[in-house]
Amino acid sequence: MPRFRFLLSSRIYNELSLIKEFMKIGLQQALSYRFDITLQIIYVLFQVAFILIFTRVVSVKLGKFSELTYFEYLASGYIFHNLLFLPRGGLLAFIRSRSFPMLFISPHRLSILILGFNSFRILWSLFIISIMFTVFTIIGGLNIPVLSLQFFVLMLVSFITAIALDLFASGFRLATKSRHDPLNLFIDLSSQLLSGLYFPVEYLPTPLKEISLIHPERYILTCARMLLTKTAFTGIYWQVISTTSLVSLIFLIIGYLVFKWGLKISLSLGTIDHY
Amino acid sequence: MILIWVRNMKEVIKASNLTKYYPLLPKRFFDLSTLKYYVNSKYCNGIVALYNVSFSVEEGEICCIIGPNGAGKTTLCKIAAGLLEPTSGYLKILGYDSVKEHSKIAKDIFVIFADYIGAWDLFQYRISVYDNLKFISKLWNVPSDVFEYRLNKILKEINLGGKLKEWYQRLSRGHKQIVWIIAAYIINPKVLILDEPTVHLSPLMRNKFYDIITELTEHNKTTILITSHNIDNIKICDKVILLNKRVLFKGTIQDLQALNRALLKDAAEFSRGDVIAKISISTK
Repeated sequence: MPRFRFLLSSRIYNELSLIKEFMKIGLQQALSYRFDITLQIIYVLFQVAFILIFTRVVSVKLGKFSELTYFEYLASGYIFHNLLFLPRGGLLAFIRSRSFPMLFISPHRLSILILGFNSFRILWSLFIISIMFTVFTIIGGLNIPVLSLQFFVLMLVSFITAIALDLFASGFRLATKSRHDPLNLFIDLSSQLLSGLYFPVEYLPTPLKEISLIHPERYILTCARMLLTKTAFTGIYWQVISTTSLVSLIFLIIGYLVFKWGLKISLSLGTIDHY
Repeated sequence: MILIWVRNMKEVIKASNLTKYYPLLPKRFFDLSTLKYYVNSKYCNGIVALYNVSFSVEEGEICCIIGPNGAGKTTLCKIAAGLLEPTSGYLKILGYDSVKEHSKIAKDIFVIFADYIGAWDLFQYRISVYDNLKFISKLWNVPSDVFEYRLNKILKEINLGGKLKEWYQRLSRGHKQIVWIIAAYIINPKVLILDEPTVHLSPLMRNKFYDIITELTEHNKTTILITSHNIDNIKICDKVILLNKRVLFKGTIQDLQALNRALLKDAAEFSRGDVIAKISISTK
């Protein structure tokens, strides 16, 4: 990085080198838990093996995605489910960490600190997803057009949704010190049932189908499946993704407001450092 | 000459009518009265931690705030650090509000909450002390060469005995506190806020700590605010404030001794007795 220093302002250079330092610390800490890391990789490989075997022995009605095999349906959903859920908790982990009060008063922007704190975690999540992706592609023959604008936009929307949900959780946590928040609890609990991860939502009973309309993962998974069909390259895809983006944006605004409220409350109550 | 000297004195820390109320704890599950705080954070009907506290500290001064447990010392430090909003009044550091304008002064302040070491900590447990110090210095934008120079300089005074390459987790509580003081020395801030800085230190280390503090003020004009219930700490201070929710006394150590000559007959009694309680009664 020093080679390119002349291209950057001193503030940006300092922030980038801070993120690098955070990453180094994160790596050292992760390596100190070698057994945990090994277990996580084994766990992911077991899950991947389960999906590969399970999707070959069952037949499922896939409704409007009938042109897909069940493996394609489940594997694509699984990748995006993890993409949405693995980075989640980054901000919450930052808020709950022992370092939070001191980092909060350090001379850097909160966004840079959050990014730095989670830099290793983000890389690790991407590594885990890439393991899944590679195995699904090589062994299962999954073909997601990763080098397309559609895929990139969907990734972006997934990340925005993850950040929005995290902001909400962190704000709620800061204000109330509660271990759970209603929004994330609803999304986590209903994720398997209402998001269409294992089966299409159109086969849900009517009241549940209505509730699933507010589940952000539903829209992301629909877009992910569309990527595997020809519809991804038509106007319908952009219609669905604009709905998804709108839902994510609403969640982001709500999440941001809740986070600001939580921070204000914890600063006035003196509970910013409370567990 | 005196006039010029007075004009050159720069007020670095200034507290004015600082008041802080903490909310009452909910008494039962449906205790709606405590919810008022979530609507109006300035709601004043709780536990008083600070009441109308006003004082100032000039550049390069060491100010010691002494008080019994629950006097509001840590609350004051948290407000100074930007971790807690006062209910009313303000605390300004280098001319900026310590909470509302914290981002403008964050690079110039370093805070050590010795009692909180372990509970919340900037140091990572499973990382070596050296790597932790390097990370913290980066966080406060200290260049690498300055970091190495100041670390080597301080290690000549404080012997860590090979603990530098150890995991922070493996350090004793006293050593953890020393490492924090080393971090403060490396960062070399304009304002240093120390909450109970000598609480886990041995007498020998306490003297080393006093040397470091004195060096920081003499060479770098660092303004230091120390809070403690240990009356020994006032011997290095230029200014003493006795606090028990409100300011009971402020002045130099000589003023304190002169004011309470009857109570503080000699140094032995001074360090032994329940001076604060007595002064509290005498000033009422």
